[in-house]
Amino acid sequence: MNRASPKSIKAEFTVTPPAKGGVDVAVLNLSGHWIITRLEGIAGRMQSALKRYDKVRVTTDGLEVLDSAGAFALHYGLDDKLDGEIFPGNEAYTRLYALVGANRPTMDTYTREHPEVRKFWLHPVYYVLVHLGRIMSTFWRGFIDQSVFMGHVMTLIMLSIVRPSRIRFAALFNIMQRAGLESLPIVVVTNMFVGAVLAFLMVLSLQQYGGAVFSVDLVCIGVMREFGPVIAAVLLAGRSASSFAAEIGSMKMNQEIDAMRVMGIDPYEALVVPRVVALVIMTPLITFIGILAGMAGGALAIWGALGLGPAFFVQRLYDYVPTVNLFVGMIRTPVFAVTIAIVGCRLGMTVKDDVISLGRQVTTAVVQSIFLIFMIDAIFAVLFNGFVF
Amino acid sequence: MKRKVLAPLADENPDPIVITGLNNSFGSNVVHENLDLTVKRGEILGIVGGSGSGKTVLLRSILGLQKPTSGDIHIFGHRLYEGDENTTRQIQAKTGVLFQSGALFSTLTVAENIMAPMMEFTRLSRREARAVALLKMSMAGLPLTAADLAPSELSGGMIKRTALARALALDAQLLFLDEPTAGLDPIGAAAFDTLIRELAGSLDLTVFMITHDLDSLYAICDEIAVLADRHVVEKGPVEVLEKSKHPWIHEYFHGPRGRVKD
Repeated sequence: MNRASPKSIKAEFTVTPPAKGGVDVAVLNLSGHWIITRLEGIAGRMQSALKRYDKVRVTTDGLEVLDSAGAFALHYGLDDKLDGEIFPGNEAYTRLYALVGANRPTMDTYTREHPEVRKFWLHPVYYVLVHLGRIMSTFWRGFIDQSVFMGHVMTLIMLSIVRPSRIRFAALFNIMQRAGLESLPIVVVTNMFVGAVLAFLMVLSLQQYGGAVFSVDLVCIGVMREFGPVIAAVLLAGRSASSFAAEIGSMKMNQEIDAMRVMGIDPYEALVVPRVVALVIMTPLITFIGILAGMAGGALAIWGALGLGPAFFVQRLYDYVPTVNLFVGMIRTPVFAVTIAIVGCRLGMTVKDDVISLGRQVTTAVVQSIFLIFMIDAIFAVLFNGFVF
Repeated sequence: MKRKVLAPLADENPDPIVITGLNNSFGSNVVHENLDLTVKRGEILGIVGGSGSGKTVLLRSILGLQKPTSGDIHIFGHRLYEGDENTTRQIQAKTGVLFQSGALFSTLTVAENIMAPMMEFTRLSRREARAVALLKMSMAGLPLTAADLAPSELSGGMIKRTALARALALDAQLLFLDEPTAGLDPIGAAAFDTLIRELAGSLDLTVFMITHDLDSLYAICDEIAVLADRHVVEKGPVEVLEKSKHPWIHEYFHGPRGRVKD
């Protein structure tokens, strides 16, 4: 391998000024490797070196290689100052130079018509205002889209109630298993941990008043009314909203949605309705088991902290925790389910043809559904504020 | 950030691609058996073969995307999968690939796509790289107003042209084309053929082209290699292959869609 030293293979040029009294032509000599990997900054340097001369003749003493980028740099440096023939005797280089020259007018027109825009993105006020405006308009458009989408899905659900044969049971049960049953372990475990942590905190605080046994009531009420439903919903949002968005989004990218439309299958009916219905059926069931797990976790923690066993826990649960708490907690689960399914499916449906938008929509699906879950949860908490019998 | 300067590759063998005794098999499915192929410098070689005859596997093997079961592949005289990282990078800088679907980076604009190999292999500033990218776009016949479009906004022909411009960004000497005219209308396909022919002539390219398009074969290929029965059954100019006795080749040129009518 002929490894030349880095210096000798750089693209270089020398300019010989025109002789006094002679012809008014400067001589530009090119040497080294005029290829794209060696060209950094040479066009600018050559341009300034040749600024003073009107006519330049090019010689190639020591030029080893030339590629189109090299020819391009040369073309820019020379402009229209070229005197005589370029690369006499070297047909390949001449052809390259001519090829670049032929493309030059197009590029000049483009540069003239599209001057570089100075970006002032970094100006803080401008940036913040632009960003804020963009967020608001996106939010508003998202709200409208969401409403339209929900209307569409609601209509279809009504229609399937009228004609149950329209429901795609295979898809429905498939999604019930994937989104519902398979999320059971994580929901159970998470709820158990949260119930236990809650119990420890309650015991810690209530012991100061000598009323540590009240932690049983508090844990049960807390888990039934708030923690059970919200934790199940957040986990489902993380699991299902993202997978719905990704599934439908990649089907859209793969033109499967278009294929369905062409065949006369309404993609909303085939894809969205089963998902919504499946989640609406499964979420309350999962939440119920999650609540049981949360209370079990609390019972274990109280057993450990106070030495009061499960029998005591269950007895106290019977005596002092009204059933209405379970009702208050469970009533919100179908709403959570609809939110998760609809946000996931809608964002999947709005995926465009590129990979970036798929990723963005999946992220947005999770973020939006979790945000909405907490918002709806807060609304329910306010609505059922007085429901303690 | 200083990028390592790429030294030019020393040419030891005049033939850019030399394949000897290539074997490829997936489990019990033998794709290539004792395949020999030499691509001469400056020629445009068309590869034809039925579906499943291993054209794409051959391309992937040459590109180093798939390790062959056995056999030698030499690119610019360097044995593939051997040699240090520098040599591999030099070979990569010298080869350009036009994938069938374009394989443009969807996160980058057209100009940035073409700049990508330059930013990777050279020390040009963004401005200089963009200027060269615009030159390549112009050479590939793209309207320069497309420079800031995203790949998803381009038509099929423009995607191919962008991919070609990207393949030629570093003045590659060896150009691989995977079905370059597939999915283009006849006029667009003819224009693309002309473009490849012209660029190959003026940039002194060696072109390795997988194609099914008979028009492309007649228009631009110097030689055609036919892949059948797990190896290259015949290689030669199109006039020679038309007279071939091999059943597949005969069917290919004389069949209902062939150019030659008996």
